[in-house]
Amino acid sequence: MCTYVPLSYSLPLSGCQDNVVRSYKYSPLTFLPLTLFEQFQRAANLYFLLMVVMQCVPAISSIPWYITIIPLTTVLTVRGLKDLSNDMVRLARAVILGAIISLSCMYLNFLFDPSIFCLFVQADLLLLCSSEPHSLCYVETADIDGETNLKYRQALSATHNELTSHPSEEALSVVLCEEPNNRLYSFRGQLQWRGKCLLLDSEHILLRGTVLRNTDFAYGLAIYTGADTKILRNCGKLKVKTTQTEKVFNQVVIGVSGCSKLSLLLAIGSGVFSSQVMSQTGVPSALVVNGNPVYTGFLIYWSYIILLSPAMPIALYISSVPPTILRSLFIGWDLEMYWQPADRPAQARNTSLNEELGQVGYLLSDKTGTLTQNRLLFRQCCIAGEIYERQPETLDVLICNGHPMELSWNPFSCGGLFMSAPGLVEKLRGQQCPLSKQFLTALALCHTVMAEWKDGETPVYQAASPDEEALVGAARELGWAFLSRTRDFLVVSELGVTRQYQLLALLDFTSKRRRMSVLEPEGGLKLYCKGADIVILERLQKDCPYQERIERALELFAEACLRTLCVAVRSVPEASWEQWSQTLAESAAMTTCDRDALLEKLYDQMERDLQLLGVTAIEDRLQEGVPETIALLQEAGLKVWVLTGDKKETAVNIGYSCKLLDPDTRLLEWQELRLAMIKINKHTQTDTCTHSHHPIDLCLFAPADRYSSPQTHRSVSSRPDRQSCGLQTRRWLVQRLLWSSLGQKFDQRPEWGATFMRLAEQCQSVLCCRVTPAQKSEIVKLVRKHTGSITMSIGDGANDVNMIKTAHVGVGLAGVEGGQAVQNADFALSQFRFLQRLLLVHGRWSYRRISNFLRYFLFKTCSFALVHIWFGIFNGFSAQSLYETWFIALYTVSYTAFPTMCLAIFEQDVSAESSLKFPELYKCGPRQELSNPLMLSLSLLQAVYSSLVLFFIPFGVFYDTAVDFQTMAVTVAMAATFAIVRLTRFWTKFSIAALCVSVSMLFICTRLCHSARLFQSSPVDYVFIGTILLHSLQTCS
Amino acid sequence: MMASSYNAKEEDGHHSGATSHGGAGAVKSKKPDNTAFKQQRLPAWQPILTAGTVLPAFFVIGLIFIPIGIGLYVTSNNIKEFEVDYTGVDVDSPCYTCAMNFSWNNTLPCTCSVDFTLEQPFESNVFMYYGLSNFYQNHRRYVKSRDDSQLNGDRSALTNPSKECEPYRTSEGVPIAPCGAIANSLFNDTLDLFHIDSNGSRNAINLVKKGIAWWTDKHVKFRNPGGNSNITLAFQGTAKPVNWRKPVFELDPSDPENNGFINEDFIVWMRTAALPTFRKLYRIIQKKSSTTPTLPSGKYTLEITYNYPVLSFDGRKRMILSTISWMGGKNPFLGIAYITVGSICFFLGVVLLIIHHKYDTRNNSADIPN
Repeated sequence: MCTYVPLSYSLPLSGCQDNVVRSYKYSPLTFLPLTLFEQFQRAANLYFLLMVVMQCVPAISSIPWYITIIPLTTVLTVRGLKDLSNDMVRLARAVILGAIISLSCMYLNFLFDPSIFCLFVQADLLLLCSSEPHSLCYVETADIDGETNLKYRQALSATHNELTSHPSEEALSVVLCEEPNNRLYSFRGQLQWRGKCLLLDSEHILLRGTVLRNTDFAYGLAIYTGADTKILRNCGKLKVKTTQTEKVFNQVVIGVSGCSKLSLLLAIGSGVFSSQVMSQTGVPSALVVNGNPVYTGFLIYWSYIILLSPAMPIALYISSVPPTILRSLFIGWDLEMYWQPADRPAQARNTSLNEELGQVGYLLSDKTGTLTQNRLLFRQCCIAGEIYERQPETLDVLICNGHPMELSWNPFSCGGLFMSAPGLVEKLRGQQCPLSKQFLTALALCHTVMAEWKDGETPVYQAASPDEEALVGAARELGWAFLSRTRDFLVVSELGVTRQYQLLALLDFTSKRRRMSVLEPEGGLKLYCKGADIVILERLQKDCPYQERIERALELFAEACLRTLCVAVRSVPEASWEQWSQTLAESAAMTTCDRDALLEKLYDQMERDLQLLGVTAIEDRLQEGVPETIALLQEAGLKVWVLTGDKKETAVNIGYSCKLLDPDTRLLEWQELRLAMIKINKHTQTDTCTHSHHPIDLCLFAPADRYSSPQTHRSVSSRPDRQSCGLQTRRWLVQRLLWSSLGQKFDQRPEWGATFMRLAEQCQSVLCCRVTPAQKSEIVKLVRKHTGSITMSIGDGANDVNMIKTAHVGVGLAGVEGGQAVQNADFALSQFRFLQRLLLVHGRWSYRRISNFLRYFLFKTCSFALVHIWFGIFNGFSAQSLYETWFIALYTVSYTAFPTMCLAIFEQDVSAESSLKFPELYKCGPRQELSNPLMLSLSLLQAVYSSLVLFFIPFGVFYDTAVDFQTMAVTVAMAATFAIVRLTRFWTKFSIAALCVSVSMLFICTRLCHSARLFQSSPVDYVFIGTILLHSLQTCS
Repeated sequence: MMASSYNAKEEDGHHSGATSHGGAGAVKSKKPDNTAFKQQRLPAWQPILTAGTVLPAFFVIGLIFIPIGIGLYVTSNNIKEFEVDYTGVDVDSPCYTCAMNFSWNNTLPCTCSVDFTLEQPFESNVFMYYGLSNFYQNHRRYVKSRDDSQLNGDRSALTNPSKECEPYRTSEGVPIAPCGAIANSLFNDTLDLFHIDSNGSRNAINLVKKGIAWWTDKHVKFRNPGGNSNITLAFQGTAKPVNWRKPVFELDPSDPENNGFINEDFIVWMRTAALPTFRKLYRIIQKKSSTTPTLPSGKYTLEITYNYPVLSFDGRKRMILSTISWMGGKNPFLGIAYITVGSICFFLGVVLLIIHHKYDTRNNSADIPN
């Protein structure tokens, strides 16, 4: 399906869509219905609305209707205001955006204004022409994918020529494009231009949210506007993460309302009572409704439902919010998680998730930029079999001081090459080695880096990936300085000689291809290619010179935890080039789905028979404190998984260096692990055959040394005493093939996922390499699906966003790779090592606080309400409330709210230092030791006991005395309030203040409710006039 | 120790910030404040349950509770109390005929008298109660069946009582004052007490009927419509409660301050009891002189005008004479409860102490630092 957008630039297009995006939900008219609708979807609110309705029925109303409506309206108002304020923020943002978009829909003319250097593109535009030569257009896409480097977009030459040469004649053109979709990196369309059909792809599109840079103006045709733009299509569904504790909340609510079935018993009691006692002739007999005990019992049932409804902790939802927010603020206030160099404190972006931090069972971490610094340094290289590297022993003083090599001959050098290879420089300057020259030319040409000349005589490189920047920078230091890029040309200064290279074709890098190539015609058609070792090595020409030595160097580099890239060249015969380029143009013109596959095939044809030039090795240093943090988290019982796109050797070495793996473990790999899985799962042999023959076999596993055979493993895992082997360190390495639809495979064969997880549960840590972003989130899903544990993902780049969103808790590291991860994360940190404090201190405390809070809330409300059951025995099961109605209304809201809230904010069992010193303390979180049903039923039992004491002690005292109902009511109410005091274990000045406030509130409110003035105004509502104190004083006198 | 290391760190940060940013002072740093609240280092008292704290706590609670309990128990025992059940269930009890022949339509009140002997003299003021058993004055429908506005003298409520009063709201179309089941079931036995001299003559004991209600009830909560003057007129157009023998404005014709809604017997009745067995203050016998006891030991006669039926719901009626102390009436329960709790604590303390001494092998240096 295609949408037709007629292009005729003489007429403004009528009926075009409004470009205003409504990111806010409410309008003054819709706010009330919408917010009520949203809030009554919560079971507790609906239940209480029902209670209010029932209380309005006089026959069953055991407490006045306004008693429940006070807490209910408080809850609804607070929640509604919170939503409204969130919405106001969104509204404000929408207004700002709207101000900029008030441009005509047809041509968006970005007039250059010196005060605004960058211009935000506000709709998805088809670039028609720009101020730059060849209608090139430099953009930054930081808001879309977080990449801060400059990229370029280019208009079709047809539109460029037409618009720049002042068109005289009108031409009707038609743009055909896809239906609006959320695919950011692809676009397919056609421009029918003067009978020709020109192809459009994502290169010609300026997406909404991109920023125009270094470009004075650009003309574009709006293709998608408003909510149809790709970026808004993309951020459509934001799943709200619900916490485990909220689930427990709901279960508690349901459980407690189940307990109100007790009222059935009471109703039966009431029926019996009315038939036995009250149907006799006597004073109260007339009160039996219609004289029918069954009907009375039926009414009493509902009355008791109402009377026991305060046991349902409605205020739980509302009073858990302020502590949660405060606990999130504590995370941001923590000095120990403040990163001085970047002036960045930690940030809890999602305030409702902090108790999840105390229950994390699985930590899934990205490697690059998360465990490592992502500050890449060109360390070593191997050209033509010769390894150039830093020689630690022979370094002179200059190198130690940060001037690694004498490069003063190079005007473009600006330091920053952490490698010492005087031999290489000599070779290069002496023009001795053509291979080295080609190697550096390849580095200077084969990239997508943009050069910016801000000040001075050296260019500043803007690169999509830090690797490219490091490589191009290294080439510059060694004499091959990349100077500038135009549409088809690259300018490079080779040892001071400026040369212009024509760019015939650029075979782009994708995570699937994992290589890129450029074609240039200088001195015979040459293809320079760089890419991952696997893909390059399988495309080499036969008996390539130095191959063995380079491969050995590759291993060497990988062992030293360096990131490697292979660089290769190919001389392309003219004839094959012409044929190839023709096919390329043809297949590019295709609009069908298999265009991509075809292009892929074509690229593949070109990138073969390569001659290996060398290998680059880039170092990415570990962040500070990473090994210690991982060790600590493992001690705390977390299973640390590292998911990386690196190759196995690099991943393993990083694993060793950050103490994820022990040196004395052997890795479980390939077939063996699959065998282990098969043994566990008792798969048939035929199944494995199909799997092993299939090119998309899923896992490459290797067994560790502790298990001599999979059988022992199985027997161990099935034995109940897993403790003994749990003590052994067992690490497994999992390697995955590059395979995009891994998740699908698990869907098709769910038992494989289960088996894998069963195996992985035995391991302390799992290392997954060669995973794509999509696979990362598939792994997170797998863990979520097969274990009940809370998963936490941590990552820093746009490629981790998926995984961060998928996990229960997502942590974003604010690193060099832009703000994408942080934008989508629930928590933002600056350093990996802050994770230990976030989890072991804040998480543990939060979990402890919320579960204690929950239990105490349960205790508080149940012991309060259960008193009515015992009282029922002595009032003929008539659903008479033991408390004054106002006490019921104010009990949860004002008398007991503050101490419990203090508990939820300040409670600490051990200090932060001890939490970090004894990581084992964390283990009770993942096991849910504080919020499991047993603990909840214990506090319920405690509540029952407490209600018994609350009722029967006054009962004994007041039995057969002249003390009236009011006195008993007030006594029990006070006792119930004071029962809350002993919940606090951690007495800060705030807890004491809260307690004082509560107690004084109790006295003040009681006194107020019992005052004569209120009684005068409404005798029916304030029946408890007078105080016991006054009465007793008077009696004694 | 913590604080010092913290300060050092902060200083470090400050220095590096100053050197790296140059004029960093102008830019507001996002560095969090180093306050006790924000760093969650509030000084706090955190009771930790160890043998060193729990054992003394048990003993202290035991040692405090036991004397209190003993004190309460002794005080309660010193209170003199005498109780007479005059329901008339047994055939040989004096009120049997009255109880059996009861009918609401009786125009002539049935009277009976019960003789009893006080073994010990009652010193100081004596409070006279009537006690009812198995009377569910706390039943919800009963408790609700009143109109506080009417009782507060509201004229509109007088002629149009609240719906809560049903079925005692109107009588043949005329609004009932006071309406509702509580008022309708007003305790209307009359109790008189006589002391029998050694020579056999009966001396009526002066029973004070004022000052038995709560002050706020008498002066705020209950009010006659249109003040206390011409009370008969004020209640015109209302009917008496079904079970009453006389209208509300004739409850105490002798004293306008004690008539109508502000009749103290009525007020005491209207203040509902918490439990089905209860007593209510009926009269006060004031001490006459410091030398003679209020009620000397000897023979007494209680004369009852038997108006109130309780046998239909298996209830009992009692008359109670009691002195009071600072803790109220006679009630051994609280003292016993205190003694029990105190003893249990003490006993547990001893048991735990033995266990602690026998099995404690832990050395204290392994304590987790707080």
